[in-house]
Amino acid sequence: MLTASFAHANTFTTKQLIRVDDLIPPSIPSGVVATGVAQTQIDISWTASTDNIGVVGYVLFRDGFMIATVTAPQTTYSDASLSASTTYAYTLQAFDADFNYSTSSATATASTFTTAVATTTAITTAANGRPGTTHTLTPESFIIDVAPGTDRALVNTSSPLPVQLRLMWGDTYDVSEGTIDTPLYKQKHETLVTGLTPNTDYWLLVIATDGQGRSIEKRVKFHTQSDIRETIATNPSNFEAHALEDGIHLTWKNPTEASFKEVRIMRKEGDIATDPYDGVPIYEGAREAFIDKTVADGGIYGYTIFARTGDGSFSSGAVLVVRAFSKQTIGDAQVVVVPHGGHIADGKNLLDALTIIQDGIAHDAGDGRFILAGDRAFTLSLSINVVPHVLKTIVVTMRDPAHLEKTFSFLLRINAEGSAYEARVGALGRNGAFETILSVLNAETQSIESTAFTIESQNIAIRYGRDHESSGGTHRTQLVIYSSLLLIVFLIIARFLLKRKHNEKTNKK
Amino acid sequence: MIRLNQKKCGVRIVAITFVLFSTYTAHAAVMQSANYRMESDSVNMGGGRAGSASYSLESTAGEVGSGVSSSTSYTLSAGYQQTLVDYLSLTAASNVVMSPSLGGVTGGTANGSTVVTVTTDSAAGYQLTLQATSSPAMKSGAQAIADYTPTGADPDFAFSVGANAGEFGFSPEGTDIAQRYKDNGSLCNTGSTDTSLSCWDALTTSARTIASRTSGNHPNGIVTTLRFRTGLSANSGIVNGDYYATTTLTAVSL
Repeated sequence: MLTASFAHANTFTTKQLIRVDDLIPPSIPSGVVATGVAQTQIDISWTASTDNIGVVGYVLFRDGFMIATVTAPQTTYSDASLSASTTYAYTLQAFDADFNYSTSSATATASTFTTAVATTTAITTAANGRPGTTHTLTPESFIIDVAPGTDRALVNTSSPLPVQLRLMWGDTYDVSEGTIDTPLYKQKHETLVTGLTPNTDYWLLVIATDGQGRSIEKRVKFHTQSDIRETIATNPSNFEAHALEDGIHLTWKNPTEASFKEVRIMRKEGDIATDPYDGVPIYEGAREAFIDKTVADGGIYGYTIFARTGDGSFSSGAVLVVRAFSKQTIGDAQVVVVPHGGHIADGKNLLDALTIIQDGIAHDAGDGRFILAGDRAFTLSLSINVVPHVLKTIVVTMRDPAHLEKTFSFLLRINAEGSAYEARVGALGRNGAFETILSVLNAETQSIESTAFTIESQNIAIRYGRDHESSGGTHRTQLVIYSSLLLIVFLIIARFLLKRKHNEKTNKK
Repeated sequence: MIRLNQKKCGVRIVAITFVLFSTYTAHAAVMQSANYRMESDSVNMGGGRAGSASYSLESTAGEVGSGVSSSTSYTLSAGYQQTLVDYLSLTAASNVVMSPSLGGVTGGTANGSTVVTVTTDSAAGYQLTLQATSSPAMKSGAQAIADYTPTGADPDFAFSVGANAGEFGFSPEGTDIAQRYKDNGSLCNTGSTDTSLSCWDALTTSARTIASRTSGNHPNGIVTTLRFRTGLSANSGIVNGDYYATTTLTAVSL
């Protein structure tokens, strides 16, 4: 065997731009103000310079010695680690990309504070940069805003005076879990506290110390967000039926989530569909209305509407039962109420096992009232531990506080982890107390376990309808909801009994 | 095997073999001209190897079938006597834009770089050379930025430009860089270190070896980074304009 050499070559270019020189320096920084804010700190601020190309930064001098370079567009600097009761003189020079330096600014002088005075809970002094105006630092004027995440919290504070902060936190009152000190004296601080546990109550103690060493304390409590995932599809809302001569008119509102693709409506005669493959599909699409014309005169139909997301998963389903228009019946109010044949048991343990999750935060009922933001979807989650291990159907029915005649029912379905029965409900869209009943039907014992509670929708800017707060009104509401709910329950029990009877006949044969 | 490693190669083998067979009867020759080089060929009778001042040849007897296959990077001649041309690839170097732009009066330093990978299965390795098409390399019409001038015979460990001057140089980095560009932390062409952004040299119109190795590196290849630097001192006298240096990299399997 012989070998031969081989060669490859390629050519490329290297470009260097030599530009017209910028020989014009930026303008002189003006409005230079130096303010003593602590025994060890002076704050300097100035008005931005201008340049024919662009100001790149500023060089800051203290008593003639350069102490810092500040990158534009920043026009403030805090000079820390100074000596108490000392006067300092500051000047600035602006520079551009070609290192053209402006002439030095006018000199600004300031003194650091004298030695500390005794600690107090209310401090009155001249405000930063505004001599002659007095400001009082009190727990009331010291504002703390905490934005909790799942494992962190962003703490913003504002005060009428520049202050140093010490933040201490913990899941108990003694706040022993962590400490952060902010060394600079500022009126606004933004501090990130990390390493927190999700879905946990925390205490935060903030000690604010002004430039003379006087301190105030303020304590706040916050709750970290749950890391529970809200992954199930949101149900359509406002699912309504009207039985008219040309058929049953169904209307609804589609979920607003970007993942929503279409709805599927399943129909069953004398029964309700409990999953997207149960019954007769009568509509699939993204519209918000459908007329079911293939119904028998006076027939009773259960409709379940499921929302489907782009990845093919379905919501738990919203349900209603309606009787078709009958020529024998006068009027068009065709949603029927059927006497129930089951037994309603106390469902207090259901309420204890029910959690409502919104924006990743899990809410417990407490006194039977959930308070939620009315402009966002939420998830009802019922722990699997409290429901029967037999054939069961879990239905939630809510009543619109602005339209007392309207109820809205939906199913809860087992989640992907098999840990809870869940339904995701779209934004309620109005303020008010939505009286709600959750019922678990045990088809084997023909019993119903139910619990009533209130979902308080808040923070919707425009109020709709009237409030519905009186206890008597609540009681009437619950009765109406129960009657709507019982129709659904009745149909489910009937279905179960028919199946059992059919099985018995089959066995005898 | 013919040096022209294109599709016509096989046809030419047949044609040239016929000519050679006519001329030298029972011998196959390894030969070359300005346009091609034949490493070997074979005929179906006789055998042996011979050479002269001009050519060497090797032949075998008994070869029945032979063929040639090729790709953009290699050519394989199959047959009773095989001739294997080395695999060699050189990735394309992208054009370089130096950053930042510089002012001829205010001066400053601009940098740029490009990367190439040489891969060969030649047991003897490869050699990579760099060559500028003009002197000085960096030009804008009649204007130019001078080539970098190292202080001595070796590259400068640190890039420096004298007063009122502007220069353009390069520095190779990589596992296979030539000894000239290795350093001991303060001097170049000594030691075995490849300190980044050190050992600055001038581009020349003659090929300058910047990397080599004495073994194959197929299939991974070896990356060589070419760094370029323009340095202008204040009042360099370099007028404004777009300056370009056109450079050729050549990789040769050994």
